[in-house]
Amino acid sequence: MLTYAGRRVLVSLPVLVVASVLVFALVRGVGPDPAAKYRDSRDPHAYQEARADLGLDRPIVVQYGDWLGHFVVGQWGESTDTGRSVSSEIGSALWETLQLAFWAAAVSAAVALLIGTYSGTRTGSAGDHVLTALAFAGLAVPTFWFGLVVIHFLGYELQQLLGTDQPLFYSVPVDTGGGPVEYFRHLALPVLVVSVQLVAGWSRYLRAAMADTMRTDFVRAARARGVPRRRLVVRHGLRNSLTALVTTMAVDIGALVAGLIVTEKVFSIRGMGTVFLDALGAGDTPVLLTWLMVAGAAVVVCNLVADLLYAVLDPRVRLA
Amino acid sequence: MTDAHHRFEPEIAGASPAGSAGLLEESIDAIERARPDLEPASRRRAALHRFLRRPLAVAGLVVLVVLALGAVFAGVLTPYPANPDLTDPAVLAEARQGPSLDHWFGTDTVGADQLTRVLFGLRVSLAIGLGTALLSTVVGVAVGAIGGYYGRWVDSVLMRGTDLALLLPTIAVLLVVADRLGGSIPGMIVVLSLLSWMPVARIVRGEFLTLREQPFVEAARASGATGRHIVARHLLPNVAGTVVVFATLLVGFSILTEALLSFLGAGVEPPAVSLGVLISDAERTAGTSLAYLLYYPGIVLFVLVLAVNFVGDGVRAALDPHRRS
Amino acid sequence: MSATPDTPLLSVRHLAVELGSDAHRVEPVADVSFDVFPRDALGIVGPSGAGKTLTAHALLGILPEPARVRGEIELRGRSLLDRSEAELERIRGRDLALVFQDPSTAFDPVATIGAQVAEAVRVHQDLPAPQVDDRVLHLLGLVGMADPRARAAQYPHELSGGLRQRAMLAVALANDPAVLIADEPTSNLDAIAQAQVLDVLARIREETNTALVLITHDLGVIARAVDRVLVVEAGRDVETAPVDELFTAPRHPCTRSLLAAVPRLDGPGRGGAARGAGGTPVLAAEGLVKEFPVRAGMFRRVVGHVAAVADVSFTVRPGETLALVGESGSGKTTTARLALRLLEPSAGRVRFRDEDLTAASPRRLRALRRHVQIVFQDPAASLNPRLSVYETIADPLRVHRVPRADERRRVGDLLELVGLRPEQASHGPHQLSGGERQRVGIARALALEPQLLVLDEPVSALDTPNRAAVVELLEGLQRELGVAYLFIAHDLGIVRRVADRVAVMYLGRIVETAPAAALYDTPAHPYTQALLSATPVPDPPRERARRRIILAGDPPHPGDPPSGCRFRTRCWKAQAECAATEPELVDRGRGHLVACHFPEPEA
Repeated sequence: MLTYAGRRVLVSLPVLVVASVLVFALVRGVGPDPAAKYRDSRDPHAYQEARADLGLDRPIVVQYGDWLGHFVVGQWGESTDTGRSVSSEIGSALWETLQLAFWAAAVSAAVALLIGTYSGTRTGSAGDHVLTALAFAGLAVPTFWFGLVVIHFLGYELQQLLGTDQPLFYSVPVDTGGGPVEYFRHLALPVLVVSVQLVAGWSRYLRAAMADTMRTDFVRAARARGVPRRRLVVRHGLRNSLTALVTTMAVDIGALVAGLIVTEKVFSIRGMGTVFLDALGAGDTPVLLTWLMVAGAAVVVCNLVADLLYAVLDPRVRLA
Repeated sequence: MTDAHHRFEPEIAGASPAGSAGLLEESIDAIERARPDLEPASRRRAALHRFLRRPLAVAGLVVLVVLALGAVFAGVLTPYPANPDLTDPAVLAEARQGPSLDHWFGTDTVGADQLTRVLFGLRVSLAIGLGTALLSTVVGVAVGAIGGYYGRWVDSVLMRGTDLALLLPTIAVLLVVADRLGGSIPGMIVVLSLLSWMPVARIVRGEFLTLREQPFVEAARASGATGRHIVARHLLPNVAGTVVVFATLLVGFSILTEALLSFLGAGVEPPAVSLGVLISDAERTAGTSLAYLLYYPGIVLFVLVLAVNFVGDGVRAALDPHRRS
Repeated sequence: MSATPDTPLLSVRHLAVELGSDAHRVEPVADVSFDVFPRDALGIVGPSGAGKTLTAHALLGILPEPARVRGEIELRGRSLLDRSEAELERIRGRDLALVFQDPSTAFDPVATIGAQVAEAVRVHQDLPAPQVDDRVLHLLGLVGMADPRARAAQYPHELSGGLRQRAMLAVALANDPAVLIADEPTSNLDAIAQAQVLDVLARIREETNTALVLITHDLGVIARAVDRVLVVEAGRDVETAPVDELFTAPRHPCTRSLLAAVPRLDGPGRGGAARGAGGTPVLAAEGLVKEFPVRAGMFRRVVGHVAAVADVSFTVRPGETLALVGESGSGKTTTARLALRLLEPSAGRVRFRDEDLTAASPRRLRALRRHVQIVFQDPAASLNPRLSVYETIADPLRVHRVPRADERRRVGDLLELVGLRPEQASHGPHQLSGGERQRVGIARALALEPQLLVLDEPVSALDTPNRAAVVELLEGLQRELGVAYLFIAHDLGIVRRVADRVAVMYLGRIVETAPAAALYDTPAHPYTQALLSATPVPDPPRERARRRIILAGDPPHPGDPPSGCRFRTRCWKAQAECAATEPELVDRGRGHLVACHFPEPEA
């Protein structure tokens, strides 16, 4: 098991290195020009000087090496837009995003588990049909639009209905400083919006897996031994279906770090997504480079966790 | 929005890590399914029957046809232009009107008729959705087939490459690229296909690897068949079903992604109209009386993708009757 | 009301299982009745599709949703059909136990064997943990496992088929059930493993009070293991008799056809003139070796090799059948593929007539492929599900660019040759039975008029009647077309009818080769003797009287073969010399070769 884990970790390192090449190529190749600000300046030499200052006249490979060298020791430079250090920009943004991602993942996992198990063990029932229709709806709904609609209804309309002076659920982060209730009111709507998609996808996956698993010979054989229904579903059915589901979840969660761009915009959360949009708009290359690396690293780490979880859960993988 | 591609894989390629359903189940299924009174001889007709027996799929198809017709005839169905002359005071006078008989979806802050704009937006959505699915599928199948059949280092390179590319967050990459290349419909198709072909390639490659080991492929090799013959005659036809199902899902996914990019301002540019742009324009109306500007484009987008997904589910059920769901 | 030797423990009356809707009703089980008495041994036998498995599942009430059950099932006088699910859960595994057909899918893949046996115990008995553990070890020992503690800690996929089957028996016996129903317990196993399982069943009958109901399509197994027999056909019971009587005086035509289909070790061999005595052999394998790399450690470095095939040589003469027999793991399947060069040998050569197949260029290889073809074991997987019967058979012709008109004619001829109807040409594989699919595979293999057909366990996946029919077909084809066969099988009973010469493989080597008659009458190698002993003979009195050689355990892992003679770890004759040197194949005369330090003396 340890060698399996060790091997997976070792494989990840070169992946990150190659990812850095891709990131650099993408940002410098297709992305904004780091010296763009100076292009329309009155001083005709300003642009050239800016380029020289930023080292943009050196061969691209040298620039890459230079950047990578600084990157791996944690020198991520400063934002050309705000002037703050990239690490503090991304650090605080990451913290915001991680909170949202965590709660959304936790809520979604719990709900998807319940729905998926129910649907998977009662395929074709009325309840299953309703849940299936809901899942399809959840997968079809555009998150950005849904977010706005939710803000309108659960923020504005609800407030009108209840006649309060504050909306019940905030649509923007409000630093009122206090307690879990405030925290909940602040995060409720964004978590709801993100969860809809996650729950829809995960519950479908689990449903398919459970439906298949409950029809296998070994579940029937366990039933033939007199194993009671609940244990059949949980110990044999879920246990076997979870393996694949958990890895999907891990991968999805890894993608959340970068995947909440729109939700954060709609809810005005100062997270990774907003930082990215600002950096893109301002041609803030240092931030963009680090941002993509962080996002990529998150995916790599979560894929690694997924692989390890799979090995823990499925002895056939572990002992191969 | 998160990466939804692989989320659909289990329902296509088989979710169960525990193995297939028991022998008894299968023989019972076989008996249940063998209904001589209903089963026509031809395979294709049988698949069609299976599709038609699912009410949701049929409903989805009907809705899709209606929407497609609306999109195709967008300029003709309404008396208003998509981008009205903003200097015309008559136009401005119509601004900010809620839904009425003259303007079924109302008008926006500058007086443009929303129904017209939504129909044109539908056109863009459908064109980009279908175009992306087609391009991604063609490229993905080609790459996946080569990697899956010829194996070894070709396959390794391909897989490592797509793994790496999939590492980077889709939306972020797309935004960066769309900034430069996007703007036109063909441009958007190319941009979106850049990342969408990879899951197709993986699926095709995965299936090829499994199929390659099957005795009937060995039999073909034993007959002296060339690689091309085996791929064309034995492998591709057996992945066709899976690919078609994934392609339909890709349509829905591409439509949503395009809308997303347009919402963020990185999608199609005026004078083209996108549903995403409409929603973006209406962003600030949440919490006001103009909120109706928000509903219609979003609902139409939602219904479009829902219909596409139902049709995709129907196609899956039609092509692969062995799956229970 | 407990059962005495006169009153039945389990009583089934007019059992029926119904599927489908009102518009289209099917009754795979229509009318089955039988009784099971305490310490009974009842065999339920019939062709596949007769509804035997459905009957067993109906007894336990575990049929899937769409199925409806009619009739009466009484356990100890009380009906089972009107009980609640909770009551049935108490009965399942405790009074009635069922052993499933396919051991590879009947275990939860993520739990150890020990845990699953323990679960069976804990569901019905409230015992403290150490006692549960003891019981688990006891059960695993009861079913003949050499190292129960080690086995209990292993996962199902780590065990061989035979061991898994025995583990299933252990699970079923966990609570000393009154009735044990074993559904085709030996159908997926090769000869030695089958003998081991039957031995365990015999021991269970002796040492416990459990009544046994054995479901099978193999009358050979029936002859060995049961006292009474119920014959089922198309969902109805058609004959019931004590086992001796069934074999000597069968009454129903179904019984008679089942009996006729059983391959007999003592039956007629191929007889006739020695085939292909002169001339160059059609196929000659010389010193074939196939090694697979073993990777271990963090970097997946190649740490060693497993020789699936270690120095195999044989010849097949024109028009004759060479049978290659061995257990799973013997390397016979790999050898089959090497013979066709579907796998590249690590060393050694294969000659087709005068040409070296192994050294042929890709172009020459393609041309040569016409002459050597293969038929596979699994009828379902050997046909492309998307091609019709016609297209499958025509495929090799298309590959070699045969003109369309000729192709049509040839396919028509082939269909007739293998006994399929012309209208089946447009059918897809899913519309055919297992036997029919295999016929299609044979037709495809014959399309290019090969001189040699490699048959990789062509009938192992079929039930007895189908097996006999296909073997008969193969025999007829050989007579008519003069094609040679390399017939791979795991049990000597199957090849009795078709083999001219037999080669026995063990752990990658050939240990004995002989003309068929000599091998069956005077086997020289102890392994051959064990194989012959393991094959049941459909003659109950003789079966009961036979001296049985039961080999313990499983064959060693090919990656770690014993020193010297590979068979010595399971051989009752093993001496010091056997561990020291590996025996070479020695010619005893008349084409009989043995590799053993202490072969049976010549008659």
